[in-house]
Amino acid sequence: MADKKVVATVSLAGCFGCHMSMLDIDLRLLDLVQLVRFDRSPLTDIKKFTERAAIGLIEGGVCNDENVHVLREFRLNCDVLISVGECAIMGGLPALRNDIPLRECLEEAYLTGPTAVQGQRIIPHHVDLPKILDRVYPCHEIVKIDYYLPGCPPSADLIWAALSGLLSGKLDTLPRELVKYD
Amino acid sequence: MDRATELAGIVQKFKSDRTRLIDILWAAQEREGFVSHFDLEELGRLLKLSVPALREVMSFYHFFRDQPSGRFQIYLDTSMIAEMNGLSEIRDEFERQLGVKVGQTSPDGQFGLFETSCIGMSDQAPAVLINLVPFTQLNRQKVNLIVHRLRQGVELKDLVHEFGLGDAQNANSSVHSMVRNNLKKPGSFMLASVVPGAGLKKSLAHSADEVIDTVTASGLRGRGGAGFPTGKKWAACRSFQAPKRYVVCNADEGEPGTFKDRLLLTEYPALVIEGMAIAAHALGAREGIIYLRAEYKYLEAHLQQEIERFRKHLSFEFDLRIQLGAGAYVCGEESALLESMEGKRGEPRLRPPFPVEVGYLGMPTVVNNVETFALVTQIFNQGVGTFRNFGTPRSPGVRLLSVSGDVAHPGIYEIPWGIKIGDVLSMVGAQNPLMIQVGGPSGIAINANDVNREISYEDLPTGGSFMVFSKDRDLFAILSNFMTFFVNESCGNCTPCRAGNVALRELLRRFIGGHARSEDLGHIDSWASIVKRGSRCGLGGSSPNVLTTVKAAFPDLFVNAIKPGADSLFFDFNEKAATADYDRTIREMK
Amino acid sequence: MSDAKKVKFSLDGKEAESHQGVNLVQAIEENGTHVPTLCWSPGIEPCLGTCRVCTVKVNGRETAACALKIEEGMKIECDTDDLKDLRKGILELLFVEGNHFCPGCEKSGDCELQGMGYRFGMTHPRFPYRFSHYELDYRGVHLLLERNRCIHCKRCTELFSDDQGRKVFSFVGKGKDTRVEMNLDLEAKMPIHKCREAASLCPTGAIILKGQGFDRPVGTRRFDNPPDKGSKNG
Repeated sequence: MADKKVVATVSLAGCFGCHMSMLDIDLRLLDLVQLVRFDRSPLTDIKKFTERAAIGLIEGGVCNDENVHVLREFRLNCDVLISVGECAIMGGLPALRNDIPLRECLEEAYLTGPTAVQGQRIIPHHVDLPKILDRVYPCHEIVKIDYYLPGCPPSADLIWAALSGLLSGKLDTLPRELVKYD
Repeated sequence: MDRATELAGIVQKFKSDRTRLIDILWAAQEREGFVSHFDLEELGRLLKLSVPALREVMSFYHFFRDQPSGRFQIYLDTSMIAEMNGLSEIRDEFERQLGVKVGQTSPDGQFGLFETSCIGMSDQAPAVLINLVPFTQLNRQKVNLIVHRLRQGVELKDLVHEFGLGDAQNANSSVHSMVRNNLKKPGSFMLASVVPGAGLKKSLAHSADEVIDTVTASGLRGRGGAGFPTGKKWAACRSFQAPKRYVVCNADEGEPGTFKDRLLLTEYPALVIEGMAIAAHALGAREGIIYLRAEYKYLEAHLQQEIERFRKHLSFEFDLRIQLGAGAYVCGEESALLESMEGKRGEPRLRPPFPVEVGYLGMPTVVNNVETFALVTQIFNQGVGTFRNFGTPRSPGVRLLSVSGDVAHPGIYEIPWGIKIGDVLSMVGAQNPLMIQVGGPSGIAINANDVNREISYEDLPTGGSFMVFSKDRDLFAILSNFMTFFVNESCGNCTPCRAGNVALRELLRRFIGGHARSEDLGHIDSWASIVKRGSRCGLGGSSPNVLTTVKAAFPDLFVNAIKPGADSLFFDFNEKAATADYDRTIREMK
Repeated sequence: MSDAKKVKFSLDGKEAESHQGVNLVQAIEENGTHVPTLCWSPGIEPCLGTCRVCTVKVNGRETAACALKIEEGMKIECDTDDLKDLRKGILELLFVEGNHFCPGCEKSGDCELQGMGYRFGMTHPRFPYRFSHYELDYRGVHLLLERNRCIHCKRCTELFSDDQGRKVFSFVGKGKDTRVEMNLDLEAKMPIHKCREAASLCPTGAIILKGQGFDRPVGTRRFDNPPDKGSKNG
């Protein structure tokens, strides 16, 4: 137990697809849990770091101020940070809004779009709600990112290759045949 | 006359020749100051070209307009030297007086206000072009007066008169401009007075091969900047069998801070025309073209007159015409210039084949700089020996230097190659100099302390631009201006130049904004290398020079711009700025 | 080709052989070294020379391989770390200049830009993403012009014409603001086989057939599997 490495994961502006892909390593999960212990992660439902992590896996880009804070917290508490998936690396689907003014996006989402509530005049806001950023930022524009796993989602094989590589010592290069962007 | 008939007349004047598209578009634009969709449809029908094909060419050149853009079209020169001499004040004054922002046309359709790159007036900055007529050394009062007078209905021609005509030929009715020559040091070779036609006569006494041998023996190198041996270029062109050969004079003097061709074309056009005639004799060419940048359109009538005047010295058939450009720095690159002359987008060609083999309209063509032709004439007048008395073995002869910036005497100087930087600085009255940009933004930046470096192909080559920046100047502001210039003037053909210069400018902004990290120091060189080595032509090949040479000359500049703690794992991210849009939206919605 | 004169040249310090008049990309590939290409593919003549991802060194100077023919005695450097990084850098510039949202792209799996990213093992570009605004043109009858994905290679503007030889695609503007335009009148009249031709000529998903795409399972598309050694693409 003592020499198990600690891993933390989070989904920022993501869809949890990357987390699904992580679970897709199937039977290798059994090998993984021999090697690691999950701390803060939606998989454990631990919401605050209880100890320092060796590896932090970040899914999703940074679209609001809470994402910024969480990402910084991960950087503070993890030795190695990995951007997992297209959204973490380049903003992904949420970043489609990056060339549209924020105001237009909010109006479309809450006031004028077909899914908006008829007669709705208010864009939801509250001190406890995160503030939306002017655009979606790739994680590596906010904190130092050590490794990048592209894909939407990255395949289970790629995630496994990266994790097992890191856990066994050093991760030099990713197997090229596993690098995909969709 | 109805518009369709008028356009038909224009097309007919150019014999329905698509390769004369730039001329046709200029002629079409003359009446309304823009080329309408109707015009394009008509022209397309007459030239058997589609409207998109016409737009493809037209939209490449920034002086062509496809929307109403004002009866008076004002273009502000945004060069660094203009910026140092009050560009922001005159921009502000124009905006205030006209009630429009840069890029807009006043609602009454009278004025359009736009920006352009260096217009070749760095010795009398800040300057603007109004309907391609230069107004120089402006300030708020003069801007005020310009707008006031034009609103009163005063003609541009009379307004120029009111401001005061320039010296010498500038005051001639064929030029009629307020431009001043600012010839500070004439020298004894290039601008020596000569009997018109004498050099040509001497060359005609020799065979074509002998003429080329003479030019080769002189060691003359092209004055545009690249410094290719002129004799070698001519010999190469002559070696290709073809039914026709062309002589082209590159008068697209676009490198910011250069204005020496302006002087040659104003005061010594005969030297240039004669040089072209000598080249025609050497190459067996029967046609010559002067590609004149649109910024110097005010010299067109004058040049045309000089061409007519020179005809009496021609004992062989040599037709010379002027091709007006339409606003694109990249057209100074010889193959882009040829594309433009053929009525296309001014994008550089792939080489080989080089223009000496496949040039204008597919024929072997020599493209030389204005100054190169003037020197050819003088070499035949005064002899190879006299020419070689000046300069160094690898950089023989003299050249003109356009000096601007923080100097007591901005203007044009004839210098021998090999002159020391220190000597130039004292000659021009440099004021507390910090940095010198030799050869314009695409050239090399040096520390003004390097007084023993010399202007030569061995050390610091230049196409004529020499900009001095004093210790009071912000080097980052200069870099920013230069990188924006390259972003604006990249033709967009190849990836490294089109996208790479934008990335380099972003990188520079990291330093300016205080977000740079230590690794960005290395990025300057490595990203620059991608643009420099990957680009298709000399524009991209030289655009990163300014960043890398400033970094080499002033290493502390970039290092000091990296804030303490910048290399933290947490990047500089301004959360408040990033949420400002949200806060504003919510506030306004309430 | 076989009766053309043989030429000898040096490739990364080794002796190599091809035939007079062969495009440099092909000459290098004949000798077992891969050269990535985007704007060029076999048959495109004269080449466009716009993308520059085939940059190699010839006699000590960088140049686009697609723009040259092999000549006797040429000294070519291609497979060096330095040149591989230069080419990767140029590719990465294309990835930040446009907005390449691969997961949502109809061309994903068949996109030559993406295939090249895979081949280079690119996980992310070294340059900052620009997120520039590009207008999408959906007015065509058959074709969609998705400018976010355009890499300005000029294949469509220079090589494509309709059944009557008329130019359908053209550029407008200059520099970073250059954008591709589609002649809507001509596009509306184009038979479907020509539309398909235009879409497949585009190396990325900038020209897309409306109402089609995502029609083949992941794993069966062109760049889903690692390229065979020496294959022309990917």
